[in-house]
Amino acid sequence: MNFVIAFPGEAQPIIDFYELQKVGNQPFQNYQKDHFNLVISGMGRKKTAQAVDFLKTKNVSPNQAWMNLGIAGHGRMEIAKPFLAGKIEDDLSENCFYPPQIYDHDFPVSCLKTCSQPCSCYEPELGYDMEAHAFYSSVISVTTRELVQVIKIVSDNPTTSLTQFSPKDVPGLIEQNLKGIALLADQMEKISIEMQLEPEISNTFENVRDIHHFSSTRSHQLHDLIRQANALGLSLEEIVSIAKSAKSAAQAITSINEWMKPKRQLR
Amino acid sequence: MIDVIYLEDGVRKHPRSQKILARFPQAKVLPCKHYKEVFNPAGQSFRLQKKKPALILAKQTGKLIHPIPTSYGVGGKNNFYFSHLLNCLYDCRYCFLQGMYPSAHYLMFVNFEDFEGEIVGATQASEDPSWFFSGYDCDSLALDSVTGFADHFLPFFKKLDKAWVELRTKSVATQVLRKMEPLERAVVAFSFTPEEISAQLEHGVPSVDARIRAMAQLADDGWKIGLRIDPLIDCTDFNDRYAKLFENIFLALSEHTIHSVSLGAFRMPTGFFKKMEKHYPEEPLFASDLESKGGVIAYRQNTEKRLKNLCLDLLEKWVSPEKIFSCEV
Repeated sequence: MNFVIAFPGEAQPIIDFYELQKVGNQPFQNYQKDHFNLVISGMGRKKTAQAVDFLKTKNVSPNQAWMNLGIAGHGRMEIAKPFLAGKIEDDLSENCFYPPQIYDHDFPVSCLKTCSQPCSCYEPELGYDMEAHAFYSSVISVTTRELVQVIKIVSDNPTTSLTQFSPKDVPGLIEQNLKGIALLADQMEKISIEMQLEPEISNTFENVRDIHHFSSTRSHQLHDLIRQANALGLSLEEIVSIAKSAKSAAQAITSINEWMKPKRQLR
Repeated sequence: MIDVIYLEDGVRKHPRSQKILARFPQAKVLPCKHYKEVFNPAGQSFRLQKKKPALILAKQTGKLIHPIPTSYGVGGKNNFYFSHLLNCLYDCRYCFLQGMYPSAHYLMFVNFEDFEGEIVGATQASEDPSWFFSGYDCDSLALDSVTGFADHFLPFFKKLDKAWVELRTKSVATQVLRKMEPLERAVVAFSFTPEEISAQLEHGVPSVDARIRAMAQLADDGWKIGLRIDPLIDCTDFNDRYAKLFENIFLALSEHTIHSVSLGAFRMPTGFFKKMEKHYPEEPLFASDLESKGGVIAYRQNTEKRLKNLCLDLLEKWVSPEKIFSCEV
């Protein structure tokens, strides 16, 4: 689970909740524990995109969960109310994002516009922030869109302007909503794990590749065979054993294929 | 059932949109300029969206009816399909929709009247009757309580002298048909695999028995019934399982109520198959003994022939051969 958060005050409740440890300070403050990563990006599009790129280099496995969390203005919602972004617009771009809403949660869903400057004009059904569009745009190259979500907590609205808002109140706003945030993060994390390839497949693949020299094409063939054998409920140990008996990579592929052929019928 | 509705700006005030929005007052409505902004982007997961599909309400433009692939007909000369809805309530692992569309959201086109215009045009273009298949990109009936498709289109087809319509379904929500007079030129076609296969591959689909009961009721009401034994799935005990399926079906139906039976072995455009395999790498069906030939992945020719011949032999006992149609790759 990767959190990208603009300000320390927004991040601290998450750091405390997940008991994250600081692992770096440059170029961004970075916190970590187990499979949780958090980076404090700073304000605005550019820093957010850079922070995402920074986290991408630290986490190479595909289909991880990503969440952008922070405060935002809103044209209708009350102060301290959370919302999940269902549509993300940008004041500099025609391009919109629609994070697919597949999770169970109690958050209201709202449209959100990322602005270049803090905004004091509010449209009723719209939230306002300065990061979400850049966050979404940067993350979707490394994970599926369902695993990229944006939660905002309302800090200002038409009756309480941003100038009346004290930064000291930020941690409190996040803390009030931690339970819901954690429930969503938990679902996202579970789905991310569901999307990862079973480790038995990767381990068997590596084991067999150590036995013979497989060209790029044959490596693909081998990986497909191991994945298919796993899908059919066949013994992956048997595949290693067949490969050991073979004299070459080509013969290993042929022998595994022959062994699997009569077992490929649906039960 | 529907938590989020994406509403295309152009159909915001359309009466059909308004009716559907009123049916789901709790749903969050998110505006979009064009449905493609939501439906088409790369990097979406069909598999994950199947957990909770949203509904998109939009207008379909361009060509609204299309010729069906050759050899997919059931006796007609002019054959077209049209899709008021893309994607399906059910989640059948063999279904090409998983490979064809980037999104699993239900995309409903509310401009039914534009479809009607093209259907009328097609029927007038030929002296021969034309067939219109409505269940290619969706189940014709499964989401009917939302779309109102049958209530709208069946009275329309009733007025067309030279048009046949096929509703293809796995749904048992047949009340909408049962309250109408059966149409002379309509076929309600039910798809089946044996129950052991259905349990493995047809997620969320009513049981085979429930579908047979719903089908028999419609037949008793006077509707013409189609049987779509498609896809045939190679499996252990193939002969026994399909024999039992046919026995259960034909003991519930009189032969004279059957308009047509079509058979087709599992096959898939290679590009679609690769996407499906990527979505469901653990699916045993995709590890079957298949081969890629001419852009299509299918059972090897001898397997396909064996499966079809076994079924044809089994069907011989129950239905006259002129009612049986084979869907080829």
